[in-house]
Amino acid sequence: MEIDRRSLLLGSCATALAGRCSALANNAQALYAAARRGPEGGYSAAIFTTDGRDVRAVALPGRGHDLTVCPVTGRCVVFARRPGNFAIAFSTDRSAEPIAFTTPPDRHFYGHGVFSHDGRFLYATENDFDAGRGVIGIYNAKESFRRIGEFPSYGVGPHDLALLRHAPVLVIANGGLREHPDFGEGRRVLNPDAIETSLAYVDLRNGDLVERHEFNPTRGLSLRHMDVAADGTVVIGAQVQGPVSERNNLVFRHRRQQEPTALELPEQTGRRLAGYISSVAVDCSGTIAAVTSAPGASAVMIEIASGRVLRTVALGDVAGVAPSPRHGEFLLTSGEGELGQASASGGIFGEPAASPWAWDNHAIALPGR
Amino acid sequence: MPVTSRFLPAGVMAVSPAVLLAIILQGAPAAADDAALFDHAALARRAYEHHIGPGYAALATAAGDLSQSLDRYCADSTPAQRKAVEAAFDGFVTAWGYIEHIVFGPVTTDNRKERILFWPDRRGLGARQVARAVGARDASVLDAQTLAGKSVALQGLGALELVLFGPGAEDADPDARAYRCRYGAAIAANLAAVTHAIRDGWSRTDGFAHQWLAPGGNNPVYLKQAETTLALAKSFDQGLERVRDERLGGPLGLGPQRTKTPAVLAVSRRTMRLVRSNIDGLLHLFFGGGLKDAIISASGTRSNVVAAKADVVANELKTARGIVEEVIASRQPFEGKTARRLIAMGYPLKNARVLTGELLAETAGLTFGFNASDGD
Repeated sequence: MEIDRRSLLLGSCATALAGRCSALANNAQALYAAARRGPEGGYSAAIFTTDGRDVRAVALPGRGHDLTVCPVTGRCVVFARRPGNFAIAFSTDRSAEPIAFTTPPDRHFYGHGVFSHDGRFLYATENDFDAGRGVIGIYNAKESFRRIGEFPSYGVGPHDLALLRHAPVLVIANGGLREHPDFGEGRRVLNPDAIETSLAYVDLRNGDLVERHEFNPTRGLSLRHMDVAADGTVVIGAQVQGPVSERNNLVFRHRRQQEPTALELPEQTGRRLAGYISSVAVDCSGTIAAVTSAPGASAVMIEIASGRVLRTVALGDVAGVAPSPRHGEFLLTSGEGELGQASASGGIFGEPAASPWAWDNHAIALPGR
Repeated sequence: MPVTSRFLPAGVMAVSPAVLLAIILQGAPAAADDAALFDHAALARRAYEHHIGPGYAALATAAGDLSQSLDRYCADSTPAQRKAVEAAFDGFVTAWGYIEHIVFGPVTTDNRKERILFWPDRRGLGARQVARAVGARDASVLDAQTLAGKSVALQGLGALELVLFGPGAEDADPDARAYRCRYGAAIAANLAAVTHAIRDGWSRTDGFAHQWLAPGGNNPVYLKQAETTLALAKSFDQGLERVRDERLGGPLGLGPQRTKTPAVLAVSRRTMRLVRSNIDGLLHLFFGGGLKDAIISASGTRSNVVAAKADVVANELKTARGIVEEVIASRQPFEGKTARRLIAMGYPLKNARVLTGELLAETAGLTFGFNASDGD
């Protein structure tokens, strides 16, 4: 069947999210999802409550990474960590069997993906490793996630990606790291002296590049994770490959048609981030970002418009962060098993919930239903 | 849904990454006092002088022996020379297995690790590329320097075992034999060059040992002294994981996908020789390399408990090694009764990993995390 390229790529933005706080607050109990490792070493992904109670869990064949949730159906997809090639779609509906799917053999996932606004298509960052180029794989959610095509990421080593809130435009963080599954377990950087990291905006109606910015203020910088603020500002977290100093710029803001800007963080904050941003999340109001650093065991909350640091909190091996249903609040997940709640105004509040799980790099919030 | 696990809790699949224990270089409150006692600098020096340096020196020597034995065999293809080649091949497999777990320093540049042993070879590139070169009598692989610039699957132990032991190795045609011999000699000469580069990369005046032994602000690799301990801990951890999940779990079909993957060096039937040497190298890192002594020296008031735990680690490794010794003569170690013995290695290897992590957390103040040093 000939699929029209335009309809294939186009995800209608008619259902663009608005007022995420209210949407999330409608949830009787806030739900989150994340990948994790169990006490016996097995991997799984789960939808869970703030206090760490599983609503639904699925076993994974290897270590997972990030998840994304369909804005229409509420179905989650968990992706394999690079250089894994599996993904599994599952939901709170226990009557629905999880759907497993994979990349083609000559591609692997980078661990991130996002649904189109209408939920019809899933886009995932992938490595065309023999060619050494990044691609965005396109999967049809209505056909058990059959892969129906791809377009370039316009860079090497694409990692996180996001959909702009009010437009069929995908923004992609090309990490710039060239890797191949045959070398160093697929995680060795093969171009340490030639990392070219960039931010690319792609029009989903045709797969065309609409805007691209190369970032290399610091040698060895790799853009990795991002989220989008209410006003369309993209907040990006980077990681430094090589020697780290507290002066490294790690957090950037970007708005379309403008130059990216680095947040000048206080030296003390820079030290707490240890050259490494694990995750980025924007709160439900779309005005406050939280960035985590597992090596620094810290999370930093930042006012997006001003770039001002509002609060820094400590939690061992913290990496995952997701917006809670309340303004300026986040759920933090730790590789040491803890689930902490933090607010930009008061820091960590309540006793972090303990769990037997080593929570993996990312967490997401499920929208209210 | 319950998450089940058997032999392979780490979940190795065809393309899954190694699972690392992330270690945060921050003092765990409970261990803060003892952590101050941990002598990272002394451990780094001892590991280099007694384990890493000698290990790479032995590897370079073994590669030189292998290269010479092949040169002699090509000049004089007698059964005695062939026997000498096989003995030198065994010697190189053993020397590599012993030091393969070291995952930092000069072995990580220029794809040296893969050029010594390209494994896992998920797409069977070695068999295809070597067969193509041999079939076409490709002259470009006969020169070690030219070979060094070619596909890693055409270099290294995997290619050499195909040349020496693989399909067609018994071909009676003298031209075919001569070609194979020259190709094998080029592989061995390339292995000698690569392993000499690793050895010298550590030991030369401005070599990696200089960085390894002197962490600090101007050191481009190691800022804090504890980072060398972290590097050793990761090597130990990944080495154990490789033996358990890849070397044994893969061919036993115990990965999450329950499909059997080919065993390393199966063509030459050297799989268990390599595995035995892998365990020997890990045991030596633990004892001779100084890990155990550094842990016990830093155990403060809990020295009895820590020493007992460290003994368990050593005993678990010895148990695993004993099982390898039982099955090493088997022609098909991953079938039948011997396979069941190999499955029994999973538990001691896992215990050794977990306990070492706990010991380093307690005594070196290295808190084992999940995301910190192996996030994404």
